[in-house]
Amino acid sequence: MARQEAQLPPFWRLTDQPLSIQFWVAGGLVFLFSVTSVAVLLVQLSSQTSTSIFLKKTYQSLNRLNQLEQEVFNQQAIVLEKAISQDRANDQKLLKAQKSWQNVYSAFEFSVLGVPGLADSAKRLGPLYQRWFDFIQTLIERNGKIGTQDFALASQLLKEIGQNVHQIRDFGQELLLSQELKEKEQGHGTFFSVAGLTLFLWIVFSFMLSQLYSSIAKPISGLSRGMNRYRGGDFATRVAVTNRSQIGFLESSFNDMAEKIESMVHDLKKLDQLKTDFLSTVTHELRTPMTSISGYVKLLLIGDAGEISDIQKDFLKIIDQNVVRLAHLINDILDVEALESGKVELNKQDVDLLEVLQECCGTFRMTAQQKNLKLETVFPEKTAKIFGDRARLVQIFMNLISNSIKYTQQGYVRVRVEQNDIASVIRIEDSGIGLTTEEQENLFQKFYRAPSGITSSESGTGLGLVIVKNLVEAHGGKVSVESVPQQGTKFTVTLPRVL
Amino acid sequence: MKHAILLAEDEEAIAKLVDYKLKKEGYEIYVAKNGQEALDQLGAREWSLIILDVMMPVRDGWQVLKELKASQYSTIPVLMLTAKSRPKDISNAAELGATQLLGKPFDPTELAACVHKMIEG
Repeated sequence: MARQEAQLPPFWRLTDQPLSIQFWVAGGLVFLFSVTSVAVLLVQLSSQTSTSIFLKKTYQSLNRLNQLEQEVFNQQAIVLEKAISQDRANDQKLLKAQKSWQNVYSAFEFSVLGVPGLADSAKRLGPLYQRWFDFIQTLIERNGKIGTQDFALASQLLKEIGQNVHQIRDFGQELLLSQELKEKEQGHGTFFSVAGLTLFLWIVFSFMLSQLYSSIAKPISGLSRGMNRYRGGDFATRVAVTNRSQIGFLESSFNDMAEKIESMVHDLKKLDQLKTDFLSTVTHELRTPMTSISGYVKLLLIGDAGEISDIQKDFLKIIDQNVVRLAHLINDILDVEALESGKVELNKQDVDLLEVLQECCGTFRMTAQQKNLKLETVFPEKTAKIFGDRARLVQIFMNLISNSIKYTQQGYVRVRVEQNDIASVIRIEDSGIGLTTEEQENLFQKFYRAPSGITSSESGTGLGLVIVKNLVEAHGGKVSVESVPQQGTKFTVTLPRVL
Repeated sequence: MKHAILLAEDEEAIAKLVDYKLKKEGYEIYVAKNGQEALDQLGAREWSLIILDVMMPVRDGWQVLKELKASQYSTIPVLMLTAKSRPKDISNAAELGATQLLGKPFDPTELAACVHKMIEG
């Protein structure tokens, strides 16, 4: 059978693509969405961070402004003292205060760099202070006495600086408030964008998973269920072909295989029927001439066609026996065929095993006597019941006992029955010519006749033991043989009891 | 008066065998070569017994038996001869109303005894 390549036609539904592509696409989507999510979050975080930095700088600037205001107060105090006491020591104080202001102002300038809004308005402060600085410097160099006019001017300048600082600080605080608001909003923004992204991703992934489920998991379940039905013996079952990917290929392949197997089973059944019909026809055809032969021979034997001599009688008897042999052979062949193809129906009922065995032994009593053999039975006291087909059980034991008698020249044939809770064990023992190991192994084969020992005229069809084995097994039992050449043979039949 | 037996059998040798034996027993025999001929002969005489082979051309034994039992001659006892004597053949025969079934190959003496029993009772 040529191997079929999976032809995957170019269809644009995703679930019709090869599975590897489906997984690449899914993977790609996952990658894309995770990259996008990360990007969005990073953007959010970075803007939040810059807002925080901005706020921090604004705080710092405001701190510095507070300090500057302190410095202004400080200098105002010194100037006042100087004006009152005219003490030159105040000059040193003023100079020191100047240095102090410079330090704070540098710090302020530094922190205001990060706050562009403040930085612009703070630019005025520098020159303003410079004017004051120059004024004081000149005053100190000129000999330091502060007159009323000087004092007024100094106060004026300092007041201006103080006002400016104040203004800037107010402005800074407004800025701070708006920044804090912005930060809050950004916090909300981050929360919502995270929530939104999560929801969106959840929807997308749910959709993707449901696609994968319906294109892969569900068809595979369907396929498994179909196989299970098939295993259970439903050869007509098929599965739906749900897409055009490898999954669809599996489904249609399964259907093809199921089709083939179903038709093979159909053919086999037909063949089997043909065989049965053939055998039936053949046996019928064989029996018709046999009827003529045996009928005429029998008529001759009883003298209906005139007197016959002794020799004629002998010869006719031989012909008759052989016709009987043929008849048995045909029956056995039909039996074996029926048993092996399971067509035999056993008419099962409660059967008294001991009664059956007595009947079989009864039939052979004369023959055993003629051959000078002892035909014994060893039965237990309680009757044994078997659930089986009486006629077939008779057939089994007739066959075995007949065999034993046939293959025993002197001594005995003993039928022994033992029972336990689950089975009855029937042993047919003889002191006959026995069987070699090889013969024991092949004994239950069709048409096998043990080569040792007896003349072919006495031996049977070669099918008897095959039928016995089939029938015993049809009753749920087992049959086996043990033998020692020249000493005897023992057949053991185990049959399950009816409780 | 001699009893008359109608025999339907297509095999010449077997028909001759039965004819010879039953004539020796003192019966009159008519041999029909197939089922149709047997049916045609039903009205020719008062038959005491009808022997039917199963496998025959034109009409087989079962068909003849069916028609026979549906006709005015349904009271005549019928003996079926068949090469198939499986349990289902026996039940088939009984169902259709055959009085007796004898399997092939048969012993002519046994056949004669059977016939005697069926006619004389």
